[in-house]
Amino acid sequence: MQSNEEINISNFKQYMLGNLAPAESEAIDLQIISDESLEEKLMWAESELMEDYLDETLSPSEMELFRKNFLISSERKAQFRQISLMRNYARNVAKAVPEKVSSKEPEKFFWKLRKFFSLNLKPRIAMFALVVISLFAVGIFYYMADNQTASEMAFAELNQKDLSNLAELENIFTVNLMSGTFRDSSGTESKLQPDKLGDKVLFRLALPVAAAASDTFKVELVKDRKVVFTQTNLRFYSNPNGQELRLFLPASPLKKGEYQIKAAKETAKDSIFTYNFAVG
Amino acid sequence: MKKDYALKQEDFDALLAWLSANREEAGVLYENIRKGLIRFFRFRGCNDSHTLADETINRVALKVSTFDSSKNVKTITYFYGFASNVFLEYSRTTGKREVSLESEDFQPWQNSKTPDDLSNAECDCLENCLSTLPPKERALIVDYYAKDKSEIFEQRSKLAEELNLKKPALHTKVFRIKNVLRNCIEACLAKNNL
Repeated sequence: MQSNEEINISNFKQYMLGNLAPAESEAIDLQIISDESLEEKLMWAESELMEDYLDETLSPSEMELFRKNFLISSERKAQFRQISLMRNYARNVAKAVPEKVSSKEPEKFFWKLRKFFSLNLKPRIAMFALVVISLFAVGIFYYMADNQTASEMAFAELNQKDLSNLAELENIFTVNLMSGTFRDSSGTESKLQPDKLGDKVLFRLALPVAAAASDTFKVELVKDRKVVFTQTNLRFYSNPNGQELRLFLPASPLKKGEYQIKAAKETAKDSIFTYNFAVG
Repeated sequence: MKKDYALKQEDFDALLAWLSANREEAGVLYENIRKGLIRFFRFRGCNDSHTLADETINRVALKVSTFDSSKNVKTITYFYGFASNVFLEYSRTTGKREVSLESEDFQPWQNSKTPDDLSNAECDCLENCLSTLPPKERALIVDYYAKDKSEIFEQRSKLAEELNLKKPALHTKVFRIKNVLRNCIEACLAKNNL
């Protein structure tokens, strides 16, 4: 439903097109002369009428009246030129920046990006800004990557080594865990003493299901529902009882509290094995 | 349009006396009526609405002694009657013309392919004027016009939603920014003698 204001504007448009009955037109004439507050609404209607014409939303007869009765003063012609100019300019600016993406979030991103570009307007400045933003984004990415995963990257290198010879690892603090229990695979409670851990801990995680030769695993160390450490592309090892994952994790994030290790095949991430332990 | 007379001081005094016995009040009424007549001619699409308003006032002033006050006709109605005649004469003499689609007035830049097609001076003025707007307003005006006909509705709905405004409020906001731009562009073109 149209508001009173919209009805007024619509009426004023018809008035300016010369498309009202004489009595209606006369009533508006008198209103215009006596009511100063109408001026802004009339200017608005005038401007909208030009937009309507450019948008081709007027009927053919209105288009004709627009040319015959409306666009006749030099002031309106100048205004019409300016509106056309502004519209064309905005569309050219918009075309210079990508705009259609499928998902909602990136759309918002591009929307904001386009707004940013609209601040600069000149294509060269826009292009320069794009390059600066891109370099900045790449820098931030590497900075974040370095800071968030420096330790993870170091341990990833360690975990890619062959850990099949347990004799070589006997000096390293080792935790054996079975999926879903708070006890290690030897039956003792998995509560680790921080002072005994050294700088890294070897975790041996018994796999509850058989893994195929090509399977690799992703492991996440979780505390208070937050992932504090991640390792990927982990291989599994065979033992007399079946199969297990072997991986080093740093001791530094292991403070007092309860932890979970979540392991999943990288090809079937919906099947997650959870290993619980605590640091006392 | 015939203008073969000059308004004398006594005619003007008679007009003010007719408007109000209080000279000061008459002066205020006169100013308001003059502004109203300027609006009338301007929104009727006339060039030089100030001159047409003054012409109307002159004619009323010349005839004011003949008005029959017993008829209780509103002051504004007299002015309107004269203004209508002035408008008709104006229309006849200037000859309202239908603007040809091929004429300069109807070469909307919407059809041009690149900014190079635009008038450089106007384009420069538009850029300069846009740069004087606060960044949010600048972005709004560009976004408001960014889409072609088929996408305008969706685009403006999205804009209104983003700005947490109802659509009429969005249109008002844009309209006001456009007015600022318009004044700025006109001043810029005048400065460059264009």
